[in-house]
Amino acid sequence: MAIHEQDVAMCKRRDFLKLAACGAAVASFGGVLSACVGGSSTEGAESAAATDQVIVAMNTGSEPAAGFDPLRAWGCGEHVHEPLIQSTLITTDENLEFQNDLATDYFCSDDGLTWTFAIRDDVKFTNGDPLTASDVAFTINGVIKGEASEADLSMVREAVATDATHVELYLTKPYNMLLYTLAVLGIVPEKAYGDDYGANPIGSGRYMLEQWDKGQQVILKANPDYYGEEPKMKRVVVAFMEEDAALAAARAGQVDIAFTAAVYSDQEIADYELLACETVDSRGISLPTPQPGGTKEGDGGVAYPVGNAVTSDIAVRRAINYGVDRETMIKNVINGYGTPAYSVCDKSPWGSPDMKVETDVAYAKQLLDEAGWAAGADGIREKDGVRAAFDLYYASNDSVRQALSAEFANQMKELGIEVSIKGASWDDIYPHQYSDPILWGWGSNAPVETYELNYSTGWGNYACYKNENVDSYLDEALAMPHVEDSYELFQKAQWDEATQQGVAPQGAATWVWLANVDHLYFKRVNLNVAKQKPHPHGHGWSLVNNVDTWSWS
Amino acid sequence: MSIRGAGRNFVVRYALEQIVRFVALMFAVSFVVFALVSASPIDPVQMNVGQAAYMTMSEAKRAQLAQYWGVGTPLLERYANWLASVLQGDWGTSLRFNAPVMEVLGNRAANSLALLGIAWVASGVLGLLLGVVAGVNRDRWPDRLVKGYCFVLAATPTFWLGLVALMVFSVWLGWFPLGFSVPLGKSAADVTLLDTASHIVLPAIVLSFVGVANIALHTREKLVDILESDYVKFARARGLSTWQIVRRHGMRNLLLPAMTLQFASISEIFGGSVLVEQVFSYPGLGQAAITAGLGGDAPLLAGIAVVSAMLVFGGNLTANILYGVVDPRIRRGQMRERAGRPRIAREARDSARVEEALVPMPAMVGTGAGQVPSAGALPSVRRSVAQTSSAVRESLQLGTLLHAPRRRGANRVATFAKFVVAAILLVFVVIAGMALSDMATTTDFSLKSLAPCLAHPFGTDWMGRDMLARTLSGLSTSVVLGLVAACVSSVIAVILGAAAALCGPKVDAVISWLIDLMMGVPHIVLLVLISYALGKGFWGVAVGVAITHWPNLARVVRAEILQCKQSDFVMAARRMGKSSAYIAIHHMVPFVLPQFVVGLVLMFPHAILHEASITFLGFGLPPEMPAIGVILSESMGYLTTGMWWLAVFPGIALVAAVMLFDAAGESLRKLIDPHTSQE
Repeated sequence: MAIHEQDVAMCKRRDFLKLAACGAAVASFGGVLSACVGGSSTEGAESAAATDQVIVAMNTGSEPAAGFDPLRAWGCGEHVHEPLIQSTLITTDENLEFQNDLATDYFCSDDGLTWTFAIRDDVKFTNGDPLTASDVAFTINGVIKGEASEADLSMVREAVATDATHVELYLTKPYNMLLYTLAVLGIVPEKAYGDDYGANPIGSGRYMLEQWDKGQQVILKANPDYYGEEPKMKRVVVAFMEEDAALAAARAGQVDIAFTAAVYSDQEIADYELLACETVDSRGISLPTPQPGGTKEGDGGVAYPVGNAVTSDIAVRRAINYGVDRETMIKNVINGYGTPAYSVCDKSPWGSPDMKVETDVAYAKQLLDEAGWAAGADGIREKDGVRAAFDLYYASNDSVRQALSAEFANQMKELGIEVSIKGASWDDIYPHQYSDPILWGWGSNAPVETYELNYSTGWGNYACYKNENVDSYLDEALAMPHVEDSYELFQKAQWDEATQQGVAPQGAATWVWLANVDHLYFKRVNLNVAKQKPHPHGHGWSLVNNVDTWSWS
Repeated sequence: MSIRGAGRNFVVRYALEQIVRFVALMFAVSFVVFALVSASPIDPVQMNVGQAAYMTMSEAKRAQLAQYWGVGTPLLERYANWLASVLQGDWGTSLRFNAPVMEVLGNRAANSLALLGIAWVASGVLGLLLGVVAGVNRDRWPDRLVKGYCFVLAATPTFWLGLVALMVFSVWLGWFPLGFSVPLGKSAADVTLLDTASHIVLPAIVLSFVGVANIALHTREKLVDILESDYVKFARARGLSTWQIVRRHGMRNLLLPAMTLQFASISEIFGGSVLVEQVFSYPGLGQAAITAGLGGDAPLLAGIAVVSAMLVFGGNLTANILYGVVDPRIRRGQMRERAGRPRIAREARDSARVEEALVPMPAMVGTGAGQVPSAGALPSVRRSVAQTSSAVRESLQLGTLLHAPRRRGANRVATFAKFVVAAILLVFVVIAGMALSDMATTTDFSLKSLAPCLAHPFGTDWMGRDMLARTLSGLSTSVVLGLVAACVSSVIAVILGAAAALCGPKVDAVISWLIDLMMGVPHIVLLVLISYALGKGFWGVAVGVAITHWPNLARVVRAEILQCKQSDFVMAARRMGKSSAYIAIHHMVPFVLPQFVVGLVLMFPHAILHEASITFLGFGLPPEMPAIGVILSESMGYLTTGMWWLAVFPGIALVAAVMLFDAAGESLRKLIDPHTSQE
């Protein structure tokens, strides 16, 4: 009995052993073989061969967390771009001038409080429903009411469809920047909008969502019923990767165009070339202006400390602005792929030439001397027992910002100011946003940031600067019925010759702007990327704003 | 018949016992996880106010979030709320993935399990084969090769291995895709099994390498023992060839322990998968854990930690049950138990298991080879030993250790010299690193990206920092961090180990439980949790490493004290009327001290590897701080740019430092361990 049992057990064990060995062999060797086949034949060859498809590598931050829902953030969120899947009332062209898309005409009432849009009557959503004025009103009202929406339409009280092709927007205050927001706000179908819209978007745009492998890639295919010009690129694949992975992917020939960083700009990849796109993407450091001690309420009602003992001295802030050698910084850190920045809006019509300063280290030192900052034993200045030293925070996952910070610290040492750079995640940075200098990236094709970064209660007023003169110019600018008329007012908010006030370096010097960084890409030599508008901040979707007109040669 | 029936009953009871244990451990782990996530200064509500997921949450969901993770409510109450809904299948909403945690876990687990499964099987098979080859060819070149391979592998951070594999096989050779689980631009409908396989193979191979060393070395030791046994000698006398013997006698004895080890290694493989998934942008649980940890996604982080513990405990449970079913000795033990000697029976069972499963059992509990007395004194040793990620390293020690006594007359002077040299080198590194710390952070863009030259033997990086200074400074940071972590860890280990041995069975049981608990969550996940709880930076890492590393040493201390307590000389001292304090000072301390010191030294390499790994994942030290983990993760970005020196020198330096510590620890052990020093 016992022996028999043992035999059985042994037998089974032996069988099991064989089975296990076979299984493992199949699993590992089979896998290796198939991998060789899979890797070499399919992907590389396919993307090179396809003439109406393009594979784009974007940074991982570009994947829309809430999906392709304009009522949340798609297109009109923190990093603006054309929504592709949906169409917009108007768009901006290469010269940043407004063009009609869904709208056939629009005008603003004289008091600036009512905007009327007439829209096309021949547009259909990809589910076959016609796009009407009520869809437009639904979308705009959705943004207004939706707490979750990143687009700022808080100045719009309501949108009303007056008939099938007309919609009116009633504003609570004159706000001419509205058009910039509408140019990136995709219109969603009222009837087909639901909770899962973000993952299953329906629009009337040039493309429709074919597939979304979360955390990996998005595949868009051309909308066959698009009312406008037929897209040349029938399929757009966007893969989300880290910087180094994107470079490797280009090197391995697995993507057609890959975003890259300046540190990689001297890389040579066979069949690829560097594409440098002009931007309004500025890097600048906020310099908190108040004395330390106060608090300010941030998101969710948390009280953050406000003020900095060193940067609250206007002489220090001005000295920093004059003492920074932007050209050297750009040459050193981003291999020359950028231009000096003096404000958040240098290249825009509302940018002020008075923001510009020539580097003058001697003058910077003189400013500090005059203010009573005397050099101590180690070369770092002191005043009334306060050491001219502060922490500079930067986003630790961004190598360019780390290098900019390091170079900034080097240059400041020359002036006798000690800057300790601190890399951290944004979650760790936010608690310091009003009390320590932080290296930010800003820039959009609208004056929104010029307003918000400088207005006393603006969401981006990290310098915590309050000036009635500046505020009133900004308010006035927004109230102009025509955007063009507001440019001068925006400029005056930055520097007003008459009152000698403003945020410019010779004035309050609330920020120090360092560089406009080019957006760099490695693209296949035979891929023709259509002319780009200046890219806003966010090295992402704005590249493919006009992907429908790209081509292969 | 009656015997078989009784055996079956016992197996059922044994299985039930194990399942109850599993459930109890799961509850305990869920509490630890919840408490850690809750202890974080990060308020998930606060941190995610601007996040899409939070913005789109319903009021009810927000209330739920605040109820579980928000501040203000007592911990126990929140835990009870959370547990109640978790048990009902509602794990909350992931803040970073904007979906129910269960859904995220489901999607991710499917990817991860495929990867883990393949790696797990492959490492088992490969490890077994290598172990057999090494064991059969003991002390000849294949053995040295295998041992050397395992040794180097264990000193290499997993993510580094992944990076190199990615570089060579995906970029240079183009055999594999560059990560992801799906082919670029292919519609889901067109994706073939082949596509899926090609995406999984490279990460799976890298991952399986992680587990190979452990099982290969244990198999080797076991086989060496078998080949020296009487029955093998008899078989040889009968004229059987070595391979015949291996097949007929070896395999049968090797397979079961190997399988057990393999089940116990799930923790280690899971920990490795966190790193590997990150390197290969593979959307699995590990990658999600990192996203959750970095993004303050408390519900998801807790969910993943609990699932990983479930996998680990599940593996152990399977191993235990498998053992109960397969091993006849357990049934025999049961017979005795039924005869009214339950305790002894259990010890016999454990001892049988230990003996069978783990030749090198002591190695796994730390450092002492062969001197841990009865396996019965370590009731759960087999269950827990191999499951730690550190077991590999310790088993390596063992590889050399078990060896030492065989070659009698080891030259003590040479050993001492070896220790002194290793120690001096390490001290030199620390001092040099500290002296150079200013130079290491100085950026000079006029000197950027220089290849190694006379002025900069290790080259410079993209910010013009001298890489030699950075590497030395980084090593010194790592060594100091390791020192802090190891000291804290050893103190915990001594207190708990001594308490377990001296304060009676209840305390012993509690501590043994605690150890199981600590080992239930894979180290990397635990480190992520701890750094989430404490915040990033030096102290987060130091405390994390300290808290994750004491269990092994605590076991050793406990075993040493137990053995000491039962030894003749302590008995004699007691009979002679010596006081407890006298015995403690004159007998216990000298007995335990060597183990303690060696354990402390051997903890360094782990600490360094863990620092590197956790920093690589983004939880450790900030980028401007020179540390090996920072340097290596930065150099990852330059793998494809031809700036090989950024990666190669610091990488080699890390491996060298780890091996140096090993050498120092091993020689120290040989020198001061009363057991081996008397040989």
